[in-house]
Amino acid sequence: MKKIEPDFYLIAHSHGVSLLDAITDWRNKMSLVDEFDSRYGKAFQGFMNGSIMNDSFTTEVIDKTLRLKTMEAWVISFRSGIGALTTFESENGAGIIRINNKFSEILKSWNGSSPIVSMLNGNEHALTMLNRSPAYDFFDPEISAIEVNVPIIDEIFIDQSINAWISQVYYSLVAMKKQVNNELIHVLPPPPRENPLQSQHFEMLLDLVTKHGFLSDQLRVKWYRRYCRNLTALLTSVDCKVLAPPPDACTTAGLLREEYAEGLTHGNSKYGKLIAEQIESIVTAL
Amino acid sequence: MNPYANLPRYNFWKASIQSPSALEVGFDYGRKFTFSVTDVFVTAGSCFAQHFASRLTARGGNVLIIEARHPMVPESCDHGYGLFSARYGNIYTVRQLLEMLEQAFGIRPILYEFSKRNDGRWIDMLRPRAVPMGFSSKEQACMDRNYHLHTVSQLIRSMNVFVFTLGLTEAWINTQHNYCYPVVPGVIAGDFSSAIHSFRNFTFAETVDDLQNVINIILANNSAAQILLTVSPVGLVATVEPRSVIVSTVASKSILRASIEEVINNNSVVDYFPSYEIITSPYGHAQFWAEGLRDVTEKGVDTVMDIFFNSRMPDFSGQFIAHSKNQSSQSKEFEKKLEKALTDECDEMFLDPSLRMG
Repeated sequence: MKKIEPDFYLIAHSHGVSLLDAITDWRNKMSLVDEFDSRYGKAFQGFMNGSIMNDSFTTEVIDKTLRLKTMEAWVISFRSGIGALTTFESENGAGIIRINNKFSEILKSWNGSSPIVSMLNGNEHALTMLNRSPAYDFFDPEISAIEVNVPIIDEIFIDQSINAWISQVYYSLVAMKKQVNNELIHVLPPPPRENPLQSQHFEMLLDLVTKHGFLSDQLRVKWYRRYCRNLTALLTSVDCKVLAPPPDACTTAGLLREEYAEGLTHGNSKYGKLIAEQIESIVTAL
Repeated sequence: MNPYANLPRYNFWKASIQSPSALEVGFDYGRKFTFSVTDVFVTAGSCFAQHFASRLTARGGNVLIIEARHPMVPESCDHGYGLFSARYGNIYTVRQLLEMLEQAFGIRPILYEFSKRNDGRWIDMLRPRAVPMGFSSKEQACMDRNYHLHTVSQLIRSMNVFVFTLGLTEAWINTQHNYCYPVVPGVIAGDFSSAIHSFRNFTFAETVDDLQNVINIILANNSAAQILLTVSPVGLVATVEPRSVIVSTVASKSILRASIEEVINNNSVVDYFPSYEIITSPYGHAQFWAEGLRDVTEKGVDTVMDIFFNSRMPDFSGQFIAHSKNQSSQSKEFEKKLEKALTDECDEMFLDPSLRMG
């Protein structure tokens, strides 16, 4: 008997929580152990400690303003024991992407016509928001302003860092592309928070924030945009759609508005609702 | 009794040439000033200035490096940090130094001329080998130039001693905007155009003027600075003048040497150190020339520096051995890079097709 597909599939690390919180009652399906973890706000209690179930689940879209009705989600907590979804190895001079068994199993069950939305990774650039190095700046084609009288770091060194981070997402989507026929859509992570010091929860970075403080807004946005630009270029080259952060959630400088922020690096359910609307417009257009 | 009767032995050819060691010749006899262990040096100039900086650092001298490698730049890259106090690369002519200082201190607008190398990297034509790996984009090259010139202004304000080794009088000029290049366009990067680029051999009067302007800018921004001038003994790789390169070399070095004589007589804080004579005088019996008879041997450079320390840093000479055994990691890193640089050829080498690698 042919499986009735949901409107879309979601494969996500922590950034998927904003979307799920916005449009589903997914928490009722999870056996989240509610041990209070002061590093995180309410949205992530029980999530980061690995107590989230490791299988995909189908859930109804309860937000009735959307035309989306159902979704199937596989949400991976970094402490779930799933590990890296893919590993890249070199064999006889050729690069091979090896795929995690659980990931492969999930993909096989999803192979079909409904699009798969990826909210994988996305926090790799988080450390760049910290003021850990002597002053510097780098050229960005989208942001002409430059800090004066500080060393200018060559773009190749910036890209070396960024390309190492984005490879995990890229390999995961390439692996998906090989295993399934579904349309792939990757959602870029939210931009850096407008006023990071206003965050009530510094996630895993409290010690580093205390020690180093934050970089200028301009430099945080430069790092983020370069991360997004490089990742977008890679993913579109393998025919994946990429969703940029919703403009309404961003300040004119490109930062995440306070009212859309959850903790230091995530979007909240209000942000997730905007993502859901973006997904809906793509899904309904397919 | 005659005016020569009571002069020291250094004043006499026979006694000098028979001295048992170079230290006893008195090459630097008549110096105006000496330096102390706390003095902060900045070095600039032609290829020989790299040797000078290297040895000064190796012996524990305090060479200021203001434009240093940022921790985000991998150490393994050929980024040009650490060769000189800032990434200006080799400065061959006094005019080139003058133009750099004028830009650094806002006396003239910053000059931007960049070319794309065959490997896609952008090169600053006014310091084409100072950043060997080049820049990712023209914009980045431009921003880096601004920062570089800022560091030049900082180092002039922060130093105690500026050591400048004069190398050449021959240069190529951009006639549209009136500035000179360290290396003629088309050799390392860019394209040569006879409509834009013209040859210039600076005269004695021009060199004196330029030197005096350099001194004025330095002292205007650091009134306590002392300036030590030397002439590179390294000959020209090639000349455009219609004459032998050997004749051009002597002409160039003579103009430079005479220009220095002129300015040190008029400036109490400017002095000359005779690296040129130590290497080229008959006392050396040509023993300081490396194969090819253009570059100076390690022994030659060591001899120059022995005399320098003995004459100019008397309170330091007893300490430099201990210093050199206990160098900071920073100075070791600096020395390592310098060693690499010293094995590289000067920019000028690119002029001679027979010497170009690859």
